[in-house]
Amino acid sequence: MTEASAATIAAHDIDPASVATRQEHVQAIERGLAIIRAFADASQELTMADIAKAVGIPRPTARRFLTTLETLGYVQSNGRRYRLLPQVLDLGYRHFAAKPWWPDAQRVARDFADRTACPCAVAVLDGMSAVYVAYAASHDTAGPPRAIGTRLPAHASALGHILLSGLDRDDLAHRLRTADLAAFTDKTMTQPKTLTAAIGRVRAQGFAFVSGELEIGLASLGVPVPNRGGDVAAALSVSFAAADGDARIDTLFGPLRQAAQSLTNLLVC
Amino acid sequence: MAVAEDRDTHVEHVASLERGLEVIKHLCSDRRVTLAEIARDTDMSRAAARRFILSLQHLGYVECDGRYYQLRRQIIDLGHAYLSSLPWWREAERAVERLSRQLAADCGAYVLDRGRVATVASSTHERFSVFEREVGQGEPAYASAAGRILLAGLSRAESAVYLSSATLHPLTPFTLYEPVQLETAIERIRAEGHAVVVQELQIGITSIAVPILDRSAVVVAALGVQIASARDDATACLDALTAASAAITSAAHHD
Repeated sequence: MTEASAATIAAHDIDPASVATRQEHVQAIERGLAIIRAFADASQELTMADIAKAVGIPRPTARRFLTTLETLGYVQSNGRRYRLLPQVLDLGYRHFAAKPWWPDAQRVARDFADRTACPCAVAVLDGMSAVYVAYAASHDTAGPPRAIGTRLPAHASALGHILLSGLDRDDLAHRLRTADLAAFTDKTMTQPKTLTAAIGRVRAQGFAFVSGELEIGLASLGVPVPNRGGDVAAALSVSFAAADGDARIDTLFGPLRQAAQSLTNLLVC
Repeated sequence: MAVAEDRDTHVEHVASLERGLEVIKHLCSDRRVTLAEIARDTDMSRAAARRFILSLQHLGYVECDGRYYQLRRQIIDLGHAYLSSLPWWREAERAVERLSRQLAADCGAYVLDRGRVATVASSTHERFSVFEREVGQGEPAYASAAGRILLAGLSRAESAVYLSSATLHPLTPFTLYEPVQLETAIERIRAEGHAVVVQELQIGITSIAVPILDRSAVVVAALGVQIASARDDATACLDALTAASAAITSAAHHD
């Protein structure tokens, strides 16, 4: 650190016991990180003008920040255009990418279950099973309690329908053709043709509603957890008594979509 | 905002940005840390450290549990900004996933990061890599197939600088580590367009890689696979990589 910067920082020192206020924040780090985020999905190099506009700062300020990021090896420029360098991965990405995802997913599920008083599950596809990677329930919920690792038949569950909707058509056709499509109730869909049509609808509408197909009296609403590129990475669902029906769907859909977005933000790609 | 004059370049340097980034790197640890520790290890006053932490907390990147602070997973936003700024990344991501299933092996896409191989996409055979993956700063560039592809993508002057400045030492009894040998190997890769490295990084492992090119045929990354050296389908692996790399290039520049 230079003497000048030490002096500047020392001059700003305040009583550590004082209450946090907006003024106490370090604007420089907020702006610097906003500049890095401005490159997200840019799929190209950015000019200083692009960056200044995206972050909402004057160009001379953008220039100072970019020069700093360039000196530190986070950014490279060819004079006119800027691009990020892989050293940005040192800012937390590398650290978290190797750490398990599910503890954070579990927190999202927990929050959702607490807020809605409905059990909520996150699952991934394994063959023709939806496998729970996170699950949370409140104490007074309908249906049996389930654990992480629970496998549900993909053809008879909302989670499964969502996960199947993420497959390409050939893969889906192959799995439906070779799977054992058992009937669990008289409402279970057991014909590949019926299922293909149902899953096509799920793909188009972006959610799955399954009622009484796995257990009589139990309904589930599922949504995809897309990765940031839009591919289905996991499914998130909420369950409730089928008798509560459509009214439940209306109140749960919004929170469910929000929770799915939170899960997307935790994915490494 | 703290602003200081950079002595060498006479450009204004935003010192408080530099220090904030240091705080983030310092928090990349499995140990929860106190404010006093952050202040001590980043060489600033406790009040200054506290302001950085407050800012990061405000952004949702840091959480506090009593006296202890730690990063939140949400900070992967920053690394993701880098990855998604690469025009070919999403396609490489999908290709790597398909390749690892097709070849029943670990596959990845790699870039050069300060003389080492950084993984930007990877798929471990039989694991859900969208949730977690190793993104190590990777092996030294001279000892893996992907690294040599990336070195071959540099100009001759640049690769010569690398070979004269990198610390080269054998990682297995088979590792090439003499600059002259490596120069020959890199030159051959330039001519052949692929790299096969047998047991130089790890005994029993063969790495195979090809370049990912942008539309002006500049090497932007390497696409590679690691297989057991005992496998007899190295040629098939190379063919699959070559086809996938061409598909990435055309898909990435399609729109």
